[in-house]
Amino acid sequence: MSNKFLKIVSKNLKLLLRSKRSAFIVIIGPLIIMLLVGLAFNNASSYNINVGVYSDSFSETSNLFVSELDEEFNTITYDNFERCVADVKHRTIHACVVFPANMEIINDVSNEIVFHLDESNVNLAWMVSKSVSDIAVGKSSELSLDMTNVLLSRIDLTRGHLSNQSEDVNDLLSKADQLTSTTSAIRSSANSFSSNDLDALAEDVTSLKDIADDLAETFDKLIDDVTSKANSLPSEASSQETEIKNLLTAATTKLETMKTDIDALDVSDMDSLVSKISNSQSNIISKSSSISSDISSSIDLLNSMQDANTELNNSIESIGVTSASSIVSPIKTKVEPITTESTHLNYLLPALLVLLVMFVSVMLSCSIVIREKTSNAFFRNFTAPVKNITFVTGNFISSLFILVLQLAIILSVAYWGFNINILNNFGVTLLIVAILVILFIFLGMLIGTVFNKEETAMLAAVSVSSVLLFLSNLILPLESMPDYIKQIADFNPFVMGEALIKKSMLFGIDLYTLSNEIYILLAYAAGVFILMLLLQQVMKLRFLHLHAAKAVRNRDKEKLERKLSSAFDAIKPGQYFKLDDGSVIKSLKDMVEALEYMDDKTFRRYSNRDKNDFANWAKYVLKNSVLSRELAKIKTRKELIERLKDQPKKKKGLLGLFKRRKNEEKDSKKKKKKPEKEGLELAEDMKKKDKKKEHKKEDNEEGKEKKD
Amino acid sequence: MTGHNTVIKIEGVVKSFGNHIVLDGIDLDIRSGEIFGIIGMSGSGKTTLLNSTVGFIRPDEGDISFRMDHLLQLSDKETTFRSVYGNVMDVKKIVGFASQTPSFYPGLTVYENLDYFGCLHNISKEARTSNIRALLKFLDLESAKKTLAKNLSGGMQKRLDIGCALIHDPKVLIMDEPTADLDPVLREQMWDIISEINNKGTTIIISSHFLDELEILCDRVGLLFEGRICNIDTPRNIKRRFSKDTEIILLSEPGNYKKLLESLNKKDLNKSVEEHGRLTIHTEKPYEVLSDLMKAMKHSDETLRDIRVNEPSLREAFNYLVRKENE
Repeated sequence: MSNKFLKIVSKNLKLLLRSKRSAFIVIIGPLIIMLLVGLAFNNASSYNINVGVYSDSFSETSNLFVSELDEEFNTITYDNFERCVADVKHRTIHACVVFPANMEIINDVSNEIVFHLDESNVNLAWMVSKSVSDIAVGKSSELSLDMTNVLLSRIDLTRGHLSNQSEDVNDLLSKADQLTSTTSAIRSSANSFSSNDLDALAEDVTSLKDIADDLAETFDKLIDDVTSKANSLPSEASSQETEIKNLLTAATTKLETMKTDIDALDVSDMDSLVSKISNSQSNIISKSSSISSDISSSIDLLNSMQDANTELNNSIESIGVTSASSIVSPIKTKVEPITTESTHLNYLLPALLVLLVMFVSVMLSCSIVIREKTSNAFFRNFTAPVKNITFVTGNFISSLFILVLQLAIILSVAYWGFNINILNNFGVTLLIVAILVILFIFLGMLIGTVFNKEETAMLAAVSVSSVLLFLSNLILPLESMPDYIKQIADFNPFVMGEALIKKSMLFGIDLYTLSNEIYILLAYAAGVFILMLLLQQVMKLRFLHLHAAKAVRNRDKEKLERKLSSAFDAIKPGQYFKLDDGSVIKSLKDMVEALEYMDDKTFRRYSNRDKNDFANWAKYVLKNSVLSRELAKIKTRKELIERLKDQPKKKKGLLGLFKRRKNEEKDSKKKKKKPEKEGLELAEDMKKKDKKKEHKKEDNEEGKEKKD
Repeated sequence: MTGHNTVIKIEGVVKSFGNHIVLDGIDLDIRSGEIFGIIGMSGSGKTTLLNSTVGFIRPDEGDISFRMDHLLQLSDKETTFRSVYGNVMDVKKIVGFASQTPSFYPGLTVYENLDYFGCLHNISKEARTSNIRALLKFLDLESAKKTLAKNLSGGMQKRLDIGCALIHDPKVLIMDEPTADLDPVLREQMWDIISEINNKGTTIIISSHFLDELEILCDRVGLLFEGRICNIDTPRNIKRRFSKDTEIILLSEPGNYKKLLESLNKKDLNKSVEEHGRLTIHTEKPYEVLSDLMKAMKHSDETLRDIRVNEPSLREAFNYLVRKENE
């Protein structure tokens, strides 16, 4: 048994390796892919992206952005917007970034930077958009930081001013308080100076005036008395009298003055004065009241101002975040890898591994099975006393052998060539890869079993693999798909395999944790294997039946053709349709040929208003009245030819008959060339025979001579 | 009635594919060491019969059995016929099958092909090497043993195919149209090979629509027509029973055969065909026709180059039987 396996495997490998194209595609191809992918993705830097920049007028700010972009990408400055966008379409550049003209960061001006991307290039568009946006956002944040710093310093300054202002307001308040008390004092003073006092004063003035009058009268009497008495005084007393007189005169003058003054004290004036004083007092009181109320409202204002200041101060004080960077980017994000891998290839390797395993396994095993099926030797295998399972196992081992070889090379290249740590949880990873290899080999064998032609089988293999690929994370994230597709995709062996290898290789998750998914993959493999075995049994029987039934179908076809052919052969010479030019129509085929060479004038001789010889011949000689009726309706030669050419299509087998006859004619023409060769052979034969005859004659003559 | 030397017994085999009845109650005995020919038109059921014989196709009715004591050298107690369908693996061990199209791997060399199929038949390496050597010599393929099969000529490919069928030294060799697609020279070579294989004791069942080769090779032939065996006998007996026409083949120069035919009595001619520069006449009265022909040639300018008179052929018998069946 093992010998047979080895022989089958050895045969498969020989056949595969001797077919250079197959060997290249199946064996070398994946290795080249691995190498190329490895070289392409074995880095962690960004990609070589060309970014076009355009602005109607570049400003200092836009140039800042451009220089920032220039550090990450290859920037190309365009002087024409259309060309910039056109180059994105032509993929000369990956994005066209359009800055607003004279971009300045000023109030009420929206500086919108527009990215023009080719979204048909899905992943790249996303990546370019993200990268370019990141740079723009970064630069924007930088500018925000600067502006926020300015704002914060202004707020600090304002807070200082507020503090000073608060003190001033406090001073003002204290002064206002003093003023209020002063005003209160004035008002109370004014209030204390009542009108009674003024009336009393006026009465006092009147009484004073009366007193003065009395005094003046008294004094006048006095003076008169004095004068009279003085006159009566001695001469020696005259000096004294003069002196007294002078004194009296002075007193009188003074009294007069006083009296004048007292007289001047007009009571009516005194009233007006009192009223004036009263008015003034009222004014003083009212004004002082209004001053008080003004002061009060000023105090209120000052208080509210102080409150506002306090509130403002408090609210400025209450600002906890005073760092500009914290305000601009209050939350910072940091991606902390859960693995220590450093290149894209590390993350890609699980997917790449499953991709290679899937495509190579499916296509290789499919190719081996279909080649076996389409091989001439397929039939001979049935004649050998070998069970079907032996061939299946042999084919499986052949594919497995190549896969193991390829995986060994790929993993070696990954480990030693690209320093990928594949040894992390290597046992589990290897087990998962082995299950995937088995599953995909069985899948390929199943496809190879279902189809009968290599082209269709390979197409089916590629299609199935592609469907599995498209329903995976490799092209688009599964999360971007509709729910029901995602649910299906979750059970896609490609997705499961990739996830399992990732978990095992990158995160080192143990076998027990992964066991559920592994069981599902194993169940898939078992299901596909059983289905393949059943199908192989069915296909084997079908192959043998078809092999035998083909001859039967051919027999029936030939039988029909013979019948049709004999129908024509049955036409007797007297029934031939003889044309005026001497040609003879023995069949519909002859009729088509004759019509093709016939001119329309000749045609009219046989088919005109009075008669249709072609229809009549079909009716009376071919005994085909249906055809005859149809031919009778046709008026032109071309239509008749077309109709007659269609005739075989309506009657199965005739077309084949015509074709066969044509081929026979071709063959007979070819054979006609042969007689030369045959003639030569014949000539040689005849020469040989002549020689033999001559020899015989000679022998006979010799014999006769001997007898004689 | 089954004789002692019968090795394969086909009894009441009926097989149809869909509505097509391919085999319609076939009864047949194949005798040990004989070459049995199956004559039939294309699609008459020859391939189905042969495939059924080795168990590839299971008939709807009837049975095919092999006499295992003859074939597997079992003890007397086991001397019995065993149905193919319960013993396919045993049957495969003793039957070699050469199909119409060569069955081998074009990408392997002659030696590798023989070795591969030998291995599939569980032959030990030593026996395989010995068999391959003998077969290469017998089939005149020694010089080509390292040549890829696809690079062989048509005749060599056919020989390799027979080699693959003989690698396990089968007791019965089934050949389906073995000389199809071969030129006359290669056909004759193939006849020699078949005869030699048979001389070594191998029972051969051969299907062909080349009646001349069956006539030459076969001990017995069976006429298969639309799934039924019309007649089984030796070629000689069949010809005697079912063919009366003698075939006269004439080669003359300049070869104006129409003129010659005009001078013959048409009543004596059953059929006349002019092909490949020769005139073939079928007649029940060969002596009269020959006499008239000689006379006509004397009066014309024809120079006789060759003339052959063939006894009634198997072809004639076959045509007669087909006509009879059709009637």
